[in-house]
Amino acid sequence: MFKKRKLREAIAGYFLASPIIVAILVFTIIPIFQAAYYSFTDYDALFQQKYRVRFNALEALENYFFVSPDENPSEEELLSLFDPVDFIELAVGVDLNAEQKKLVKREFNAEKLIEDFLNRRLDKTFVFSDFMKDYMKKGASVFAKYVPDFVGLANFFEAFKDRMFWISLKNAAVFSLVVTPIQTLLAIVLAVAANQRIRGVKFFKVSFFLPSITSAAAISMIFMLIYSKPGLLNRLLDYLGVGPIDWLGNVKTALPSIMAMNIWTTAGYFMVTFLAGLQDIPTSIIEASMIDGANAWVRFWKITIPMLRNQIIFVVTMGIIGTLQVFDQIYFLIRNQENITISMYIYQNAFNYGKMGYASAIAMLLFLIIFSVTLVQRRVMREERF
Amino acid sequence: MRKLSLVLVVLLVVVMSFPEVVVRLGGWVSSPSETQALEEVVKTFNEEYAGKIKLVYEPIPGDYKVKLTAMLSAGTAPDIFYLDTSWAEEFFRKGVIQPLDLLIRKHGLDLSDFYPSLLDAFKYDGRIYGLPKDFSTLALFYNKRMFDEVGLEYPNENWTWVDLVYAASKLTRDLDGDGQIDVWGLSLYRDGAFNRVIPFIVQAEGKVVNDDLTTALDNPNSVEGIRFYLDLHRKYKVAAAPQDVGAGWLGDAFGKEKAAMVMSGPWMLGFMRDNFPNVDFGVVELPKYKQRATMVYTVCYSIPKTSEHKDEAFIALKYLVTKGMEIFTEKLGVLPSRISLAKGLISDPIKGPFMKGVEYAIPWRIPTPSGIFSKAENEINTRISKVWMGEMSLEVAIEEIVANYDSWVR
Repeated sequence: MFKKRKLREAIAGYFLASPIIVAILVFTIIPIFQAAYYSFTDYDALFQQKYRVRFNALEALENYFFVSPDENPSEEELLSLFDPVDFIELAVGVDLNAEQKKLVKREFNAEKLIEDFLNRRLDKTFVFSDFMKDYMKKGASVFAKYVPDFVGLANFFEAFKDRMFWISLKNAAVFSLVVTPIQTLLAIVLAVAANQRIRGVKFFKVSFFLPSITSAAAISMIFMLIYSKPGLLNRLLDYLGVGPIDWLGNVKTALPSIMAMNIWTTAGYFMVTFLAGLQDIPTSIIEASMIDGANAWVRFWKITIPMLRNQIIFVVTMGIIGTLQVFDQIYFLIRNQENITISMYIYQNAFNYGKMGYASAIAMLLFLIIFSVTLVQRRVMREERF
Repeated sequence: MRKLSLVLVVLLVVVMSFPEVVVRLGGWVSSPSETQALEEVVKTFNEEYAGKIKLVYEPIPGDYKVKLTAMLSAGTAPDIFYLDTSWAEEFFRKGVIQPLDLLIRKHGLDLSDFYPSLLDAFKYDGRIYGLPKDFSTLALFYNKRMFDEVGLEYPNENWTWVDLVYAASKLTRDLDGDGQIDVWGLSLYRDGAFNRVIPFIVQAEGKVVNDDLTTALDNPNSVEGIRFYLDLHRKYKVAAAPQDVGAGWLGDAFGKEKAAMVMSGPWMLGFMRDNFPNVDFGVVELPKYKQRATMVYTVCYSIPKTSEHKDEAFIALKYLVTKGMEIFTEKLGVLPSRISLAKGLISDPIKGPFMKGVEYAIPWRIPTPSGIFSKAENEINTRISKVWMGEMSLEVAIEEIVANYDSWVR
């Protein structure tokens, strides 16, 4: 009785949660496994519909033979002229590989096709895979669905030899190493500032947080103007007598410029985490330290920072993951190949260079890197439990 | 209940008696006026073919090539869509686009009325995979007021590289005497510049690729062309990149009168009219060197092999490049890809230079063994920028390009 109720409850629970379960399954879990699979293949998205080519079989044959059934050609003559591989590649327009050619040569039922042609049964649109089902004696299943060629570890070996892979990986690593500590520290400072009981503190909280909810595209456009040669930054530097620098155009300054911008946008976001942490610090500890004569500086380093340990671990973890994957600001602002990060290189390979399998392999490598970095980090910085 | 089924039957009969075939047309969105003109063409088509074919326009906003790839792989691509010359070959090569030769023969369309250089841009392996929608070539824009100020004669179609450098150096001036150049003779792209360098390469009788699809950028003539482009900035110091003068692109630099000349396409015309109506400018063909050359950028309409209604799609496509092109030419002022529509335009003082350019222009399409040039383009562009900024010598750049080219286009 009790068991039954529990089961019923479980069913109801899963049923109610099913929309999100299905969504995560379809949009997260399945694509992860697909990407892992594609990384071992030469998958090309444009071939996905390769066997779904539609054609009118009557027209294709008329164009192949240069004769119409109305002219009463003889069956034997047509059969002697007919080469199924030629017909499929030229008249239908589907390219076959060597194995498929052999299979078609052996198993294609030319007699049936010619007979249907002469009996005028072909004047309709066929989908290639269905057509093969009709006219192959066996083995039509090869043409049912596009299966990419398995290439083993070739994509991974290619990555290790690829100069651009290492450049983009190095850029992402530098980005992460510079941005994560600074954004974490800045977020703590902002949080401490926003935690003061001063007039207009809400205004500061809002202005610190605003960059993180503004769209990356809009921020990128504004920074493009700030960083441009006659832009705001160079005008300020002009007072200091520093010549105009093309911040985003110069290979040496482009990435640091984006780092600064990234810190500015994310620090406010992480500030919220630290604010919550700060409000958890018992006032008794602070009061006790004040009685002991600790000044604000000592209190910050000896009380605030240690008490924020769990938040720091969270922010550093999220920061490393986020910075290693940085994409949108690079996509909008970086024009030089030397300065792209690894996720940009994945994107370029997948969508511009027609190398989806290779892109999947790099994505897998990035996954392994982030996974192991996070693992090591969890070991080193254990969360404290109260 | 009975009433409902009666209504359903009537509805069914009505639907059955109009077996309209729906043909979907997809393309990127470039401007509201273009969308408007396209919608008008769709409307007139649907009036003419009412009851037979219904053309539906589905704009594809955002990263067009990525979205089209996704749609093609999911089998949901429109029946007619745009392809750009610079990346269309990959699609032809991978067998997703329907060759149009047989459809053209079946439904009849006079190809001799199209400019051959535009048709060639969409041929692969002897077949034609798309029909050109319209085109743009590069020509030389010049600011009349700035030429008058320095007392120079306006450029003409017989200008050579020497004339260009001479005029540009006169036009490059420090107006307020603070030792900084305020207006430049020319504005040229520094980033993503390769397609703008190609005319110079060809003007110097060089080429981009050899017949065996290896790179020809180390050919002495090609190097001469690339060097001249970069020397306009490095050696003669008469050209600045748009971002160096606080402009977003060439048109912006020209409109703000920071540069007296730019080499750009007819897309500048609408921009200048809307944003800088007071700038008085003229247009001539690009200066020549050993021979004339310019780039032509064009877009075609294509049909995917998986389309369910290829015949109907082609009828609509044919309408788009005949009646539709007439409407586009009239309403939008685009340059028509058909010779019969171009007649009045060749003598036009502004559009004429672009129209004349198409006779000898080279399409923006670099053939490669994989059909994909974008990786090589990124790598070459990076090196052009570096040479421009003096971070690399041209010789090293060419050496690196030749050494790695094969791995970029494989």
